[in-house]
Amino acid sequence: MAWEFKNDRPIYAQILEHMELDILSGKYSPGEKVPSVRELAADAAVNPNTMQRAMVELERRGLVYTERTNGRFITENMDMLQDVKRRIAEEYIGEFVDKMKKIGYSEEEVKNLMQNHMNYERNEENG
Amino acid sequence: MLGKIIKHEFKATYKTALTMILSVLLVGGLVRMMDMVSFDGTIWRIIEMIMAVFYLLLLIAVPVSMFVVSIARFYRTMVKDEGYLTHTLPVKKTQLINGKLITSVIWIIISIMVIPLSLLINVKNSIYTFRDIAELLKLVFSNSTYIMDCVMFILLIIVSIMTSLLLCYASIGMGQMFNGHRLAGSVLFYFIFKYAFSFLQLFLMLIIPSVADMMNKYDTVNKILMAEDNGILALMLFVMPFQIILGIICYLIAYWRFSKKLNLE
Amino acid sequence: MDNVIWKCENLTMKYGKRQVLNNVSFQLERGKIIGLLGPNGSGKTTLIKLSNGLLTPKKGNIIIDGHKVGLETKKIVSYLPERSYLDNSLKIYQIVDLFQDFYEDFDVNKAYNMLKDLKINPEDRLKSMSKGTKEKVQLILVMSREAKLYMLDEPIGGVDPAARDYILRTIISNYNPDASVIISTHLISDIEQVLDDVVFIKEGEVMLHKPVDEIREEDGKSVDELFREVFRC
Repeated sequence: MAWEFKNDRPIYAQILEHMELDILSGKYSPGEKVPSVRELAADAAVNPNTMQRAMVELERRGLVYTERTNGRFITENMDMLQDVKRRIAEEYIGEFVDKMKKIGYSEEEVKNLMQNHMNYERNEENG
Repeated sequence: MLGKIIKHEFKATYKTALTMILSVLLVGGLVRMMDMVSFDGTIWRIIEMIMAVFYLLLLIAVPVSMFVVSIARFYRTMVKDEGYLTHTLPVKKTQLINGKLITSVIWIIISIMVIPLSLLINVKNSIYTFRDIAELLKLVFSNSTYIMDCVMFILLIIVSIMTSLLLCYASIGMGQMFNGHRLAGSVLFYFIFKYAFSFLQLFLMLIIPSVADMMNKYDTVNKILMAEDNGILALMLFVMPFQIILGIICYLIAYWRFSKKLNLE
Repeated sequence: MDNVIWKCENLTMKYGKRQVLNNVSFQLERGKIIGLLGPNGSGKTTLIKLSNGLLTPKKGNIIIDGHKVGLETKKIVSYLPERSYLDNSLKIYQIVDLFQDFYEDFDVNKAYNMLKDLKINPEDRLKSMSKGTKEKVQLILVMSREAKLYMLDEPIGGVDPAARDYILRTIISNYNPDASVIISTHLISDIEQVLDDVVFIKEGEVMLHKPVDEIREEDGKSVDELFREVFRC
């Protein structure tokens, strides 16, 4: 299925994020071989050059590495993955807090709302 | 490449062509059978006559239809939507024109040959039996002038067919310039070319004998043209060059229009 | 200039009095998928026809892979016109034979595989097929060639969304760094993510020639949005 892209940001950046999420969510396990650029591009329905650009950046960030004759693999460096996870989490949190502030909540209120929400979710799961 | 073009032209046209030829032979066969059965009674006679007339019409119609079908195909594949395929094939324009020309000529000649062949087989009281034909052929091949006459006659037919086709090709090529009215344009140019050339031919035919007369050098030419028993040769000497020249002019026009002035919708 | 697969120099084209292309010069690189975008009458169809030898320019020329448009370029350019251009009376396998005969770079196996993927029976006659299926056949024939330049005029216009996906996926999988694909279309948002660069053509002139991501980065909008702005009625 073709990936969905937003209009206002470069496609390669969005591919990058998509791949990061795929890696973190476990779609690709650490050490697993990554499909070829062409396969990924066809799957995502994007331009192969753009996909390549994203993969190169992914490699630069250390999330994948290339073994000369064998291809690209997901890093096994767990610390690295944790770092990326943390970075993305920070982004999400930042966005969320900004949005909540925009509609008028204070930081204290935000904390309380979050706590209530989590309690509710837990009760739903248990009850 | 030329061979491939001819091959695909035949593949695309053989069904129509064979249908026409076979239907003529079939109707001919029917006429023959009716002849053999021959019931009494006016109604049967009338049916026989109608069939015979229909058969003769068909004999003439088939070569004409073959010609029309060939031109229609040329028009469709060179000027209409199929032109997008034809003109993007990696072939020279000359090969395209030659391939279509050759294929059309072959089909037309076959359809003409069907006439005497069919008559031979199908007409009951044929004046000629197969033995008579053999005798006639022997006679023909024994005399060299007869052979020359025959060969020239056949050549003239082939050249005339080619020139007629090329005349249409050139007209279609020219007709392209009228963006909305290509067909009308082609027909217009056909008549322009045809009459222009006929006029020119007539003019020259009148001039040359008198010029030759004046010069007095071309005595032999004059003698040949005026001589009675050299009728066919005279025809050949005169008509053939005109046909060939017209054919060449039309070929060049068609080539020019389809290579430099191509203008598909 | 080995990197350039297609270029035009001082290209001018007129239909009678109307100026369709006005002294246009630009070039396209190998290994790119390029979108040729512009409204009807902008000159993009003319540009494609000129590239395929279906029209002769009034002035200037087009050079493809180092050759002037002609016999040599027809061998390496695979063109998908917007219209139905095949002999309707033929069967699919006969048309495949024809392509195989005339084009050295035609991959027969690929063609039959694609026909199978799209569930098209090679024994069927073109006449008996729907418009959408005919378009798929035409696309299969074009994409089965190992050409240096593919020129696709509205390849996804008349087909259903599933076929559209298949077509885009085929274009992507076919990609090779030596060849380029030029796609002329109105449906920009559908193919934007497949393109490397886009060329905007307006009234016979090139308005813009940029990579897709550069437009997004610099202008903060998609190519589709930019197009609507530039070509606002």
